[in-house]
Amino acid sequence: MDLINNLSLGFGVALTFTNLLYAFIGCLLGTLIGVLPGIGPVATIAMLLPTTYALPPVSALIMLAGIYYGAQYGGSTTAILVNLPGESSSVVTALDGYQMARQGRAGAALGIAAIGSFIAGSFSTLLVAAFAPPLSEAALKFGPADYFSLMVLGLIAAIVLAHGSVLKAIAMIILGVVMGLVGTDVNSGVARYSFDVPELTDGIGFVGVAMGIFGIGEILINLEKGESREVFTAKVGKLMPTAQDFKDTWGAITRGTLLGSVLGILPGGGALLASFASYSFEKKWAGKDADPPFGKGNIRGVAAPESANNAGAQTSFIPLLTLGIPPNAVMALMVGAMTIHNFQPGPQVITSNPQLFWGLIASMWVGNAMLVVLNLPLIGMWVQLLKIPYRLLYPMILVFCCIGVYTVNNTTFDVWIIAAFGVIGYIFAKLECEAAPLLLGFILGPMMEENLRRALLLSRGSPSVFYERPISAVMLFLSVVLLIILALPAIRKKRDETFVED
Amino acid sequence: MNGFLKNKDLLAGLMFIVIGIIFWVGASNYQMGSAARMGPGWFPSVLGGIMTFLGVLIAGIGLKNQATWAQTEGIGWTWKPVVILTIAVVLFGAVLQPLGMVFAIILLTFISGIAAHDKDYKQLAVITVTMCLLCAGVFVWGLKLQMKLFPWS
Repeated sequence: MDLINNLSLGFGVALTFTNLLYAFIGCLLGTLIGVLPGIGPVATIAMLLPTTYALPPVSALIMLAGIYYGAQYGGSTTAILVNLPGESSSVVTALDGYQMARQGRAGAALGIAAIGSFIAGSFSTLLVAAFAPPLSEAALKFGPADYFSLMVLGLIAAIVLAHGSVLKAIAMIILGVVMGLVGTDVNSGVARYSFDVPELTDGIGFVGVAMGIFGIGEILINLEKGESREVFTAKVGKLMPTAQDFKDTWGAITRGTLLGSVLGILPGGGALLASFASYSFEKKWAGKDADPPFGKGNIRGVAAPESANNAGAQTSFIPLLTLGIPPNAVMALMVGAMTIHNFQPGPQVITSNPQLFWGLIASMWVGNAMLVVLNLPLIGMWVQLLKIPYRLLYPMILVFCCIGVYTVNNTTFDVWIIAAFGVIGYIFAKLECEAAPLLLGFILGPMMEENLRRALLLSRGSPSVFYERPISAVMLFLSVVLLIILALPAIRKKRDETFVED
Repeated sequence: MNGFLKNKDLLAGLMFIVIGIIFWVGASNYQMGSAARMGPGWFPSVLGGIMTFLGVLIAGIGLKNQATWAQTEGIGWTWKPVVILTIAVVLFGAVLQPLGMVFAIILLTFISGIAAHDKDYKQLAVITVTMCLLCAGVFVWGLKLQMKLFPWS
């Protein structure tokens, strides 16, 4: 049994004392920051990145994964207790979770979210372990043309998830790609769009872009809205869901896990798509006579999307680890983080560095277990954190962002970059241009150019390589189908409804 | 004229047109090469072109719906927090190396604190001290990152 051998190798790495400790610290810090209202996983990971610098690569990656799960779970906590989802994937959790909190059942909601997440996480970890090796092998057959087409598909799939106008989402992706091209061109050594600023010849740092837009830009939007928070701290209630709750939710957890796992693998997928889809699915499944109705505090409305978003968060590591292509903005950030640790994700990792690969997968499970152990007893502390008023919270976030980005390269210039991108992020938000696709384009941009160049060099300039290679042809075909579907008025209406739902 | 400033699509379209043209025109400074031997200018010029085109489409749709946009409340820019936070972050960057982390954090928290609706300088002071201790503990003493705490250290 290869799977068992591999997993035991992984657990051998993940269960060493130091790595357990880093997984623990990662989960703790991730939840700590993720629980703060208005901070999603992207900003959390970007902010906490410097805490991993001093670690050896394996430990650093394990800690990063911990931070990611922590941030994800912290977002759900905020959604349930304050009705203020820190990230878009908890939006649907807030619908029923917050209602449960108002009915004095916050504890049960938090408990079932943790348990559902854990079950989903355990299942999808196995899935990653089972599917990663054959996929890595298949990925080795990918030529530059196939990679290019796959990235096109991924970027177009990202549009499905963007809110609002499809055209704006495409334009934002392209903007991200060209921004990724700023700096010295690897092939010719020409410094592109650096406007004679020496710091720009190294390109714009992705941490700065992410923190500027998702950290400072968010603060600016929140400051404008003013504060309207109502924390249900009076009575969290019993954390352990009742036997009846378990009976009610096991089906929802199973369906959420399966749906989330599948949707996480798709390019452009991940936690967000998973939670939205599973919530609407569960609502349909329950039908009209759900009691209490969905949106009024039905525990299944918490269990399903929470299981799904964790499963999706997990399986979205599959395209990253096997192909080296991030399927969503969070994973794009993970690529950036991994590059800082001199680690290039891709199909070669599994053979060249099996310890790291399997250690990371095993630590996914460890991280999930940690979340249950960590969050349930510490819930009182998170509630206290939620009581910090925003007027004090945002200066703290600013300090973390500024110091965090400075430590990437120890340059003042990077701090100024986040100032600039804070303003840019604010303008984007005001003009209803969503920034998540931009970040994905930003990371994929240089990879796309490189693969396009190589593909056309090999084919002597003939574009036929893109439709004559079967893999590439399929990817491009799917991209076109997706674009056509998006353009259909009926689907577009449906998509708009999903995002404004309830 | 004011009606046009309420039009988010028009403004976004114009933004993409301007940026697209910058990249498109800027690409002409670099060698285009051929498809087989792509120069550094090829990819950005194509993308700049596409972006300009998309910008025109978005702005066009905005113009078409101008009547509806004119009815809306407007975008409601609030520049005050934007300016304050930008100044705070830029100053933080400028001060960090010469004066050290403590002064930089004090500047950052107090200047950015002005942007809040309900200011409370006493609490802000508490937060500042906490952040200084926390950051010193984590980054300077814990992770041993290259950062000085005071101008004289």
